[in-house]
Formats: sequence, structure tokens, C-alpha cells
Amino acid sequence: MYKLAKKTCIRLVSSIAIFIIFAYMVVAICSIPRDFTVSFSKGKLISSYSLKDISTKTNTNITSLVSGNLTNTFKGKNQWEILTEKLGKTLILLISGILLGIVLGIIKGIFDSRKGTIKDSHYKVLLTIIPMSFPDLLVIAVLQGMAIWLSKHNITIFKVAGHGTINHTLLPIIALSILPASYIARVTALSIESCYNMDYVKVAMGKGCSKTRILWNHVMRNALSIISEGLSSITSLIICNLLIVEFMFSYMGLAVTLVQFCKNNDIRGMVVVIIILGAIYFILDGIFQFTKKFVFQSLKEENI
Amino acid sequence: MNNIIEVRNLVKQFELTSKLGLQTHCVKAVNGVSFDVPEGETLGLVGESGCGKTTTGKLILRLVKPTSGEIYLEGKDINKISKKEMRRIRKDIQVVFQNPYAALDPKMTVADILSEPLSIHRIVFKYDYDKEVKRLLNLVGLSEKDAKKFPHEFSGGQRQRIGIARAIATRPKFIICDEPVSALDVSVQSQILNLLNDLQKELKVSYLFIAHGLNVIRHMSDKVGVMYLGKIVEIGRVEDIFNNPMHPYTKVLLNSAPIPDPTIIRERQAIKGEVPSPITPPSGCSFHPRCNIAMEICKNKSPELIKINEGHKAACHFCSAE
Ligand code: SF4
Repeated sequence: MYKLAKKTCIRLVSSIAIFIIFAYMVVAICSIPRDFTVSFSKGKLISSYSLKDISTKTNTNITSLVSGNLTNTFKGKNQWEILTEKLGKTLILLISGILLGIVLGIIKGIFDSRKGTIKDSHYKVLLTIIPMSFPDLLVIAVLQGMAIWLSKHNITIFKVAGHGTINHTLLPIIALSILPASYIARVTALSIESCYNMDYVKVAMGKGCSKTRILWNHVMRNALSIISEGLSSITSLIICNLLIVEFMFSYMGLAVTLVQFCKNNDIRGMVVVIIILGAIYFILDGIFQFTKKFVFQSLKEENI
Repeated sequence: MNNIIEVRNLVKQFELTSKLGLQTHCVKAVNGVSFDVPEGETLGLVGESGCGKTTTGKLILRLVKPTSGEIYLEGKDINKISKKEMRRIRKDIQVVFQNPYAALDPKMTVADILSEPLSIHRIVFKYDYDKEVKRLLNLVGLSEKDAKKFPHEFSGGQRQRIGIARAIATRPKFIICDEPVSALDVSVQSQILNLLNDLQKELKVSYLFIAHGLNVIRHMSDKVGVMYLGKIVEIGRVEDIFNNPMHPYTKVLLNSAPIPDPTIIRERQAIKGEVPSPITPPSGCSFHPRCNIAMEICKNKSPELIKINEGHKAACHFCSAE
């Protein structure tokens, strides 16, 4: 237990350190003046601003960010208010997308796997791999086309674009969850198949366990710890897709706000949004690591 | 003595398919195997890797469906019964696998592992699970305190003991021991073999003992079947096989086994060549490319198992009854 606590602390400290480096890099990159140039003259590299100037500006920006000095108004509102409002919307999208992706992925993975039989599952696997290779724009276009077709048939549960009601969030959540779901489905199917090859599953079959009992008591129990390894990867997948999903569905979340800050040349606003998105990534990744360690792996196993 | 298991003309053919799903080859992993295992006795199956010993075991357990042939458990053909009835019958046939590291579910405690068969087959009442788990652990020489531990907390030999305890939990009539000691240290092997022998005497259980090593087979078996490329080439009482081997393959196998006495000098008779691929087995007698006394007939005609004397049979054109 002590070893496990020590390992967790080390991991936490290293994650925080990586996050601090990431935040500093973001601020440093955004502190480089727009007219910054580097020229080559008389065998020397000459920059229009010295490294010292840039680092001084970076430090000033960090100090002002840390002190919460972000009082510019944006369309008549305080920027912090805007950011907290957008953060809430984005978190709804991200968390729902991740949960839906995991649930759909595990169900599809169980369906895809051969469950110990020797019959082929090529077609089922193909149905998982195809969505992985589709560009996000195509997936979104298909979903929006489907919503338009449904609304023509008086089914108005899905809204094609916009924000404000739960119905507006449904399609963005589905669009965000498709890629992670395909990834989780593949990982699930492979880990289920590898578990079915283990002798302890054959012994369970030989003991007369029912198929359901074998799947849940022996296979999924062991497969879940392999699946949990893949959860961290879906965090990055889903955050990468966030911008395109929010933009295409006109969902006023953090990613669209980032685009607006960019349009208005509001560097400080951009920095804050990027750091918030980074923090979301690190927190979600931390949660998945924690889940992997404490939920899917036996504490005793870790102690050896 | 009544037979607990009777196997008749058991065949298992695996079809190899290409990525496009087209059948390319057929492998006869088990090819017309027949034998009986009497109550309370052990039949040893010996042969090189890939000769079909383990597949035979899996066919009896019905983990693999046979292509043809019959398997009778106390006179009932287990290939002809319903899935539901098979699940009930599984209580009587259990297995101990070769690799004790892979045979125990790593996420279950020993108590869970041992009580699972108790609950599936309702061997004892639920409130007696703990007592029964302790009894089983004591029977295989483990402590009651071990019940709360996970498999990774045990050594290979201890894990195999847990595997044996799990196998005997349902009070089976027949246990398939699939190379139960080959993954263990030599020092632990004899402990496990003695444990299996003691349990057989105590519980009157029959074994199908699959192994590579002739010494282990001799120590454990009452009857021995020698397998080569999916077929039994010689079968008989242990003393017949070891003192009076008839098939050239059995003779070479016995000849290549080490003798634990350095003073005995024996003329080595090495087996020539490799085991042929089961995808393209040789014509006639499948042993002919490696046989020292092969003749023209061996290439063309497959020999039948012929009776040498009571209970002793061999499949060779040049073996005859005494
Ligand atoms: S039948 Fe011929 S090849 Fe086969 S074992 Fe006998 S002598 Fe050898």
C-alpha cells in the first residue's frame, strides 16, 4: 500500500510539473511579438527581439495571468464570466462524449469479439475500423444530414446546430463519441479475445460456467484492466475533435471562444483558453490513470 | 472393472482458412483415437509435441467439438447430449492444465476460485462454502489462510495445488491432467505427482495423464498410450509398454529417455528426422520416414492397431501376437 501511495504521489507530482511546463510554453509562444523575425547576416543569426525581451514579456504575462488580471471585456461581458460559462458547456460535451464513447465502445467490442469461438468477425471489425478512418467533417455532415432527414419526418429530437437546449448538445456529443467509441471497441474486442485464449477461461468452460458468467466473471474482469490502458488515449482524441465539432455545430463552447479570441487578436484570452483545455486534458488523464490503478487493478497485485 | 471413459474412433480435423475465408488445408490433429479408462485407474498419453495429446484431452472435455467419433462417460455418449445436460455432466470431468501461471484467474482470490465450481454445481450449501474451501486447501497441502490470497502470491507448485483443489472441488470421476508438472521445477514435480497419486487413492478418481516425459508416465500410469501424428500407435499396460515395447516409435522413445544410473551404458538409437507436418502427413504408416525398419508396404498401407496380447496393441505391419 505504501509503495502504491508513493507511486501515485510521484505520478501526480510529475503530471503537475509537465502541466506547468506546458502552460509556460504556451505563454512563452504567445508572448513572441508578431513582428518577430530572424535573419542571417555576416554568418550570424540576428533576431528582431532578444531572448531576454521575450522571457521578460513571458514572465510579465504569467504574473498577470496568475494574479487573475483578465479584465478585458468581450462583447460587454467580463472575460472570466465568459470563460466559466463556456467551460461548463464544453465540460458537458467532453464528459458526455467520453462516457458515451466508453459505453458504446465496450458494447460494440463485446459484439465484435469472437467470444472464444473460431468463427470469423472480419465484417464486425470492419464496421469498427471504417468510422475510425472517416474524417470528422464527414461524420458531422452525415449526422447533420440525418438530423435534417429526421426533422422532415417530424422527429425533432436532434438540432442541427446552435446552443441553449439539451437537444442542441445531442449531436455534438454523438459526433465527439464516435471516434473514441471505435477505438475502445477495437481495444475491447482484442482484449476479450486474448482473455478467451487464457487457460483459466478454458477451465471455467470446463467447469460448466454459463457463457454470461464466463464473459462477466472471468473475461471482462481481466479485459477491463487492458481496456483502461486505452482510456488515456481517447482523452487526446476527443480534445482534438472538440474544435471542429463545436465549430461545425455552432456550439458556443471553449473551442469556439478560442477562435473568437483569435479573430479579435486577444492573445491573453487565447492563452487562458489553451491552458484551460490543457488542464482539462491533464485532469481527465489523471482520472483515467487513477481508475486504472485503483478500480481495475487489485491493490494486492500492485503490492508485489 | 467398469470403464469410466470410453473413446471410440475420435477424429478432429482443423480447417485452415486464408484471410479471404477460403479453406486452404486440413489438419487431422486427432485421427481415429480409441481407448478406455477404467474406474480409479490412470491412462498415460505420451508422444512428441503436436502429436494430438492435448487436443484429445480438449475433445473429451468438449472444449473442442470432434469431427467424428464417440466419447462415452459411464456409457453415455457426451457428443450426443444437450448443452444443458453437458453443463451438468462437466461436474464429473475436470482438468488440470500445464501452466499453473495461466490456469488461475488473476483477479480472483483462492476462495473465489474454489467456491465457483461449488456454486455452479451446488456441491454444498452456500453457508458451507468457507468450510469446503478450507477442506479442499487442506487436502492439497495448503493452509486455510491461503484462501484470501490472490494467485500471484503463490509459487508455481502452490498454484498447481490450487488448480488440483479446484479440479477435485466438484468431486469428479475423471480428471484430465494435461502435462501438470512440465512447467514446474524438478524438485516440485514429485510433490505434485505424489499428491495426484494420493488423491486418486483417496477419491477413487480416474486420470488421463498427458505428458512428454516417460519417467513421469511410468510413475503415474496403469495403462499407457503412445501417440504419433494424431494416432495411437501402441497402447497397453505400463509394464507391457516399458518392458516389451513392440512399435518402433515406442522403442526409440524409450531408448532416448535418460536412465538415472550413470553405470548403465546403453546403445543409443537416435530417432531420425523431424516430426512430419500434420498438414501433409506421409502416406501409409505416418512413421515410415523416420522408421529404421520401414519396408515398401509401410509407404503404401496404413497399419491397423493389432492385438499383441491381452490389453496390448500396436500399429505396425511387423508386430505380431506372441
Ligand atoms: S509399419 Fe513400417 S514404418 Fe510403420 S512402424 Fe512399422 S515398420 Fe515402421
